[in-house]
Amino acid sequence: MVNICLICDFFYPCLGGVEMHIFQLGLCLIERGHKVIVITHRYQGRSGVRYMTNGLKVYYCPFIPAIQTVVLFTYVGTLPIFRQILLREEIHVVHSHAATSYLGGELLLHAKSMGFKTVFTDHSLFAFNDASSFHVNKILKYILCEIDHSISVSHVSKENLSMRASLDPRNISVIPNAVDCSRFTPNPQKRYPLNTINIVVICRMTFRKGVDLLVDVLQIICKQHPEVYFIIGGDGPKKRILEETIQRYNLQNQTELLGSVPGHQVKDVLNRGHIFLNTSLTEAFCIAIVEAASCGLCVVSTNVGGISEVLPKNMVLYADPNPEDICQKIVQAIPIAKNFQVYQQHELIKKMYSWEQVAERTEKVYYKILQTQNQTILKRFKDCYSNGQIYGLYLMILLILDLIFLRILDFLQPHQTIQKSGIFNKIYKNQKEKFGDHQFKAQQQI
Amino acid sequence: MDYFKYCPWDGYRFSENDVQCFICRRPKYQLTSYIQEEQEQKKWEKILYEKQPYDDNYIDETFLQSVQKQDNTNNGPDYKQLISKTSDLIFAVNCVVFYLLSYFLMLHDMVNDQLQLYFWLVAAITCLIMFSVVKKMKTLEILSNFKSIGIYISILLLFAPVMQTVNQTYADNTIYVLTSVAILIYIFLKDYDYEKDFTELDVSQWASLVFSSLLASRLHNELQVFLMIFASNLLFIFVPILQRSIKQKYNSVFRVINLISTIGLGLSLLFFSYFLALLFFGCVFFITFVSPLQIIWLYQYKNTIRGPWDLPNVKQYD
Repeated sequence: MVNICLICDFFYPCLGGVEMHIFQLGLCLIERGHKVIVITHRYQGRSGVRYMTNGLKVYYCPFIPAIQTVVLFTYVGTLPIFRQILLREEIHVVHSHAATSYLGGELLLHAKSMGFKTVFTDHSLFAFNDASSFHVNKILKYILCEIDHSISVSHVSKENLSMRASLDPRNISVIPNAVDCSRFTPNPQKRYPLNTINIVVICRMTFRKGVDLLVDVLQIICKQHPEVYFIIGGDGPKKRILEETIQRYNLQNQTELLGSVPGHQVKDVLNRGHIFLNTSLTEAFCIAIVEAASCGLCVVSTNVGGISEVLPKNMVLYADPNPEDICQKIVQAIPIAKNFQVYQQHELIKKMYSWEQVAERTEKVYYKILQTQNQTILKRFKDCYSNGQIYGLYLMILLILDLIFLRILDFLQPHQTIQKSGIFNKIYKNQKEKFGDHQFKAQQQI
Repeated sequence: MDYFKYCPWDGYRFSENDVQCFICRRPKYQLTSYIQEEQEQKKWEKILYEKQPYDDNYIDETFLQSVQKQDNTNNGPDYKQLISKTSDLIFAVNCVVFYLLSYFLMLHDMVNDQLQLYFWLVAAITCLIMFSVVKKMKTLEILSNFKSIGIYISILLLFAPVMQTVNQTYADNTIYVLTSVAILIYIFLKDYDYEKDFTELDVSQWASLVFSSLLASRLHNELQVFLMIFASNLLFIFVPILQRSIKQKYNSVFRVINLISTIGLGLSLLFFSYFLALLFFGCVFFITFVSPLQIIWLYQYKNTIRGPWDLPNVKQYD
């Protein structure tokens, strides 16, 4: 049994790909007999320790998010509480998620100073030529220079991570995301409106999700194919552009804007469609197309990032990220979608992706790193210095500070005096019915 | 013996003779040291939907093949093009020098205030007529613009006494230091692309308002204050709009105007100080001919890596 600490700024009650990944991975690891805790910052109305479905213990630490849902990088500010939690829970492996989660980054650094094994999972792609990516990559390189192992959700993401953080590719495993197929089942009877070809789009209305492309596609397809009906769900800053386009070109009879779609209603929206359209401009691993394919929809998607690795070619039509090619692929998909083997596709997806597989493969990574030796202080200093002559020196000073603070904390509160927490797994396994409904009901809206 | 084609750490493409990475100095590893033995194994595919008989950290020979590194040694910018692009910067410098020159004349009462007033009014009307011609405006629109200018002048005249006294208590040194900073902000943060239509004042234009109001506080009467702020708005807010319109349609006309104004300004500076004239011509020479050479030299160090993670160019709606 391995005691695992999953940490990220993004967790329930927020809901997205990363949050779902951590939650599902945690549950499956508990099922496999490990002890799992999750650390995140406080959310509105949530602070302290909570138990979630199936006994997943979550520490909502009292840190206030600075921007959106990410806390400020304070380095030593979080050390006392993290040390308490890690020692109290007798953690073996610290597993951080997402490059933009600085809470996770801080804990990775402290965990190395305390002698724990560390793993990092990257969920996003970052370029090299814009200011924000430049800074994220620089900090990521520092955080990951001492990491024991990294995980990417796609092969493209692995290449990207290896270059961004200057990591040895042998220390990066590719473990894809997954989908809970039991929540995304096909139901062709729910297709509505009738006698039309329904194209479903569900995404956040942002530039990166390709809403500008969707605006062009909407105009062209609705004009050329009066039998097509668009069902568009999601909210965001670019929603106004879609609304304006629909009004300007009188597309009200061929489009339906749903606005925010609660997580538990996504399946119902998908079931209404024949075709799922994804116009994203960048994706490390697009969960949305797997969910749509699981619901038996014919998928049309832009071929960007790691999307081409996700589904076999007979399930998806890949288009270049321009309106003309996307329209062409939609036209190709219309006759196919009418005669789609929806149930057969659902069964295939079920075999392809499952959270149990993800947990099993992640578990292998944990066992592998637990067999390795810890780095010496000298090696850690060298790793810090590898970030640059001036920047590296600054990082070395931070490392020294971290070690000094740890010694002070060890002196003030020796780890023997910290009370150890109980193991939930045994009680849970004996009386499963008593703990929760084993169903994750998403409340957050997309 | 097969070796890595790209450096896994920075994407540098190895040539046949390379023994180490040019960028990170790491050795060029043999593929066999990384790649597992493929004994009776199915060929690895770059897919996620199928579990393959390889470890999750397996590295294939196709690793980083999708990365494209732009070779900048032969694709640098053209010297002539760069020289032509400096004309915008020269024009901005000319405007600032011309403005400071007129301030100097006013401060030392070297030119009659009435004459200055006529000059700036004529300049404003000329600019407006040129703008109307370039934009092919209708008579009603032109009259409407004249009306707006009339209202604007009235408001500015009302505010002139306030602008004269608002910064009067500050020491001369403070005013000139703040003015220098604001001028530098104007020069460095000015939008030289002129891609967007004028909708609101940007940082550089706000900076121009700041230094004009600072300088105005040192003048002797309200008319001079009015003229200074009016000239500032004309030179730093309206003229760039006119410049954009002229450049879009008559680029060669703009270049001729720029050349004449540069030579004229340089010669007029000769009347005041040989040193200043020399400094001005030196500055123009440096911006026009030397700085493009520096950019070309620096371009060889520009490291452009493109891969599947880059966002495609998509038309954006605002």
